[in-house]
Amino acid sequence: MSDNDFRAVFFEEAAEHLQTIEDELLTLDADPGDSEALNSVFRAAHSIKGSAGMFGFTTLAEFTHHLETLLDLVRKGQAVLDDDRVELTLQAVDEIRAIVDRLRDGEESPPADTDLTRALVAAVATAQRGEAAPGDSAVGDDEGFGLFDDEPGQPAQEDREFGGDDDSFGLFSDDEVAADPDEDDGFGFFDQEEALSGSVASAACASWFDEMFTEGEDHGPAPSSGEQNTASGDTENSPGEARETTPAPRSDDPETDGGFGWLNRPEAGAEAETPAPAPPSRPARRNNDGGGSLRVSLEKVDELVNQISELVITRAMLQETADQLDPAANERHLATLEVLERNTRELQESVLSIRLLPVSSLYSRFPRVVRDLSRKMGKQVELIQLGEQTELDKSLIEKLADPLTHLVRNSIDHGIEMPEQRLAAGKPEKGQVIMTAEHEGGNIVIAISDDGAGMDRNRILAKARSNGIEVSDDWSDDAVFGLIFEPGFSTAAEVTDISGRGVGMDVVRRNIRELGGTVDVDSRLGDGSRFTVRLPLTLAITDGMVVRVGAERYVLPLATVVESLQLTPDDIHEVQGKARVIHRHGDYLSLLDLAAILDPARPRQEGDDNLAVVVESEGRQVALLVDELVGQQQIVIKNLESNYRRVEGFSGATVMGDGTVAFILDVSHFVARSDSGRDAPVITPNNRIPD
Amino acid sequence: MTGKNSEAGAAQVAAAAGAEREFLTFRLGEEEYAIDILKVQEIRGYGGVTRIARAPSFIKGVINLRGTIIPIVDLRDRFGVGELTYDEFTIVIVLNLSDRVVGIVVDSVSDVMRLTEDHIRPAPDFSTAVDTRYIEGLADMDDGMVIVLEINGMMSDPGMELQNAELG
Repeated sequence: MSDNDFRAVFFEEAAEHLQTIEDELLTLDADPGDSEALNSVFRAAHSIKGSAGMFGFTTLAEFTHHLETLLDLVRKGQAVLDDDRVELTLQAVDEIRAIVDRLRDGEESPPADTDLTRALVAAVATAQRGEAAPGDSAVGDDEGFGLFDDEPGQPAQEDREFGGDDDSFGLFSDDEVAADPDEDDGFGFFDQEEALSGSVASAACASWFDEMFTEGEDHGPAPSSGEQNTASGDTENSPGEARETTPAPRSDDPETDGGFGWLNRPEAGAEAETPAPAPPSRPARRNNDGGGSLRVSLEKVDELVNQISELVITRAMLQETADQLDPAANERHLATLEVLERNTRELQESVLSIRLLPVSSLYSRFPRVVRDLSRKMGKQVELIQLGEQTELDKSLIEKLADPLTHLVRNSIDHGIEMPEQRLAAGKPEKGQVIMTAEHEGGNIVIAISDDGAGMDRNRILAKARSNGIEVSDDWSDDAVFGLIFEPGFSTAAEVTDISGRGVGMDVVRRNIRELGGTVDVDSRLGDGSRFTVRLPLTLAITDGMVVRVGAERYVLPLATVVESLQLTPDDIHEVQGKARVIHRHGDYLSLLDLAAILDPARPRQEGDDNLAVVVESEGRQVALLVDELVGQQQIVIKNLESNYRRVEGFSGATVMGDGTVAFILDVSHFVARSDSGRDAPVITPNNRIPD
Repeated sequence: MTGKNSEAGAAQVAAAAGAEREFLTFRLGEEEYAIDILKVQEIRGYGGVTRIARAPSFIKGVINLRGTIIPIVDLRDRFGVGELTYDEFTIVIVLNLSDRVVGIVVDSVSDVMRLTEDHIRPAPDFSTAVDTRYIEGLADMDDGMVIVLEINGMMSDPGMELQNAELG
């Protein structure tokens, strides 16, 4: 791994830690007594500081140190995490994030915001003045030693950096073995250190660490042979793991751990500790930290998905030849094939699930958005998130973040009223914004609704007129509300820095359309609004129903299939001589002849009207005539456009068991087709015809 | 071989150095054509083609090439030459162009030949099956003349209908 690779890991981890801090702070905001949340916050801040120091990001490490000190005081009950401090901490998180971003962009040592640093230091000082215990590190110490005082993890990580050039991380995990002569001194020193009081120890450590810090950097490229020896003893520790787990055992109480916590195995650390932190919390924490995840680029996963689908196809081909064998004579052969089939399927499922993430990873950013915005605007808003376990493709999660953020902000800014207005309207003071995520057919549907003021169609119409858009008073609500997605459209009475500049909703719609989705709005004046984002599950795999039309096989996404029907001539009704409908559950459904659409040259045959599959898209149904139902199977969706072009009516293609290609039918196209009357119908699926 | 990266680059470098390039020649009707062999991914038999609804007749459909779905264009049909038979002896040349992989059906594959830039002379305005825009030049062969194609441009011609139509 090169230095840059390590940095990349650092940036990713920092982002995760920051997210943890933010999440847990919001938990704490609601329940200040949640000590596990507090500990998580502290640990995350601590990890950032440690890693930052290790990479020589001193400004980041120093700034984070202040935050950590404050959190430590809170954790020890010497300061209360009141509203202001939560706010301060959140601001600090933003600042850290900003610094990390700048570092990522290659800036050498971006300075932290001085006002914020001062505010943090002041908060620490205030807290310490309160009921500071003798063992606490004074503010003066902080200034004197910067990140090194009472920071045992620091040098360890510095060491690891120069060890890192040689990939010899093992050294630092099994710390009993001293390698470098300098370190020998250090170890000896610390071994005797147990008797010393925390403050003395930390001061002493600090100077020693200062020394180590500089030496460590100088030593960089020339690790001693001792390091290599020890490295071999602990090679199973990946660099990332080592960095994360090492600070953990000690993080409960850096004060009492003094300078040696990192040198000891966790058990030793526990012995040395003062009884303050409860030992049982340790194993749980270690589980958290050692979660054992692995970062893999999406490309590699996609490659794996492709290879698996090749394997699936190869297996299917093997099966086809095996089907011609004599079952009695080839029993073992066939049994083995069955095992192969099961294994292949399991492998395929596992691989495909790698790309899926629960929507909670998308949700996590919103509590903060809601909190900040509602505070800023003096509104009271409760965010409710449902369907967190709904899974969707990772690439979708990334691309949905911005549009959804905009919708949530919009709900708070334009939707939820001020508390007094809400009370006057007979609503609870606190408004609600509800996010839901669910699978619906082949789509994922994410809705954001609020119980706010709703949209005023007259105001929207007036605004549209003043913008020069031609509108009419008898437009349906849908059409009127749809106007808010037009460029430059905003009805906010005054333009705020939150929204109201009219550069939002059209971008939201465009972004979602680019993902192949739609966004709809529904609103009732006085009751609130609801934005619904529908996206196709652009996953690599889906269940499909294979049908034959003429000579070709086609796949209908199983999620769109409602039922299949055997038809008799009596079931089919002619409308206006040409369009045909069938009567189904009280509704009339358009009947489309797929063969006529897909293979117009084929002559019509006896029995063409026997079999239909009813499919549904966007809540509307249509019946498709097919020649044969071939069966259901899992299909791997392939893009047609990468080597060819988009084909109307096909949403993609897949490879069948015999190695040939079958197209996946775009059901929404056929539903729309039945509406437009191009092929047949004047009657849309949901229009009832009086009997 | 120099300048593998881009066709234009290759042409220029080759021209400057008078360097040799390798070409695959194939037969379309009565004419012999040559394409840069670096564009050729493989040669395979015709088969397993799935027809595309309402596509022009020269687009025979798509095949699965080891997990990738590629279109098959019958150049004989496109240019109205040769005999439109499809059996296991029908030849498909799989081209790896700058942004896509496409299979073309030709009458037969003839040879691999080396040509220097000096050998390729500008084509006069004359009548061939292929639009002269996509003819890089003409070259002499032992028993006649070969037409060197600028295959990348030819395959991205809108008339090939291989790409999404430009919007607006």
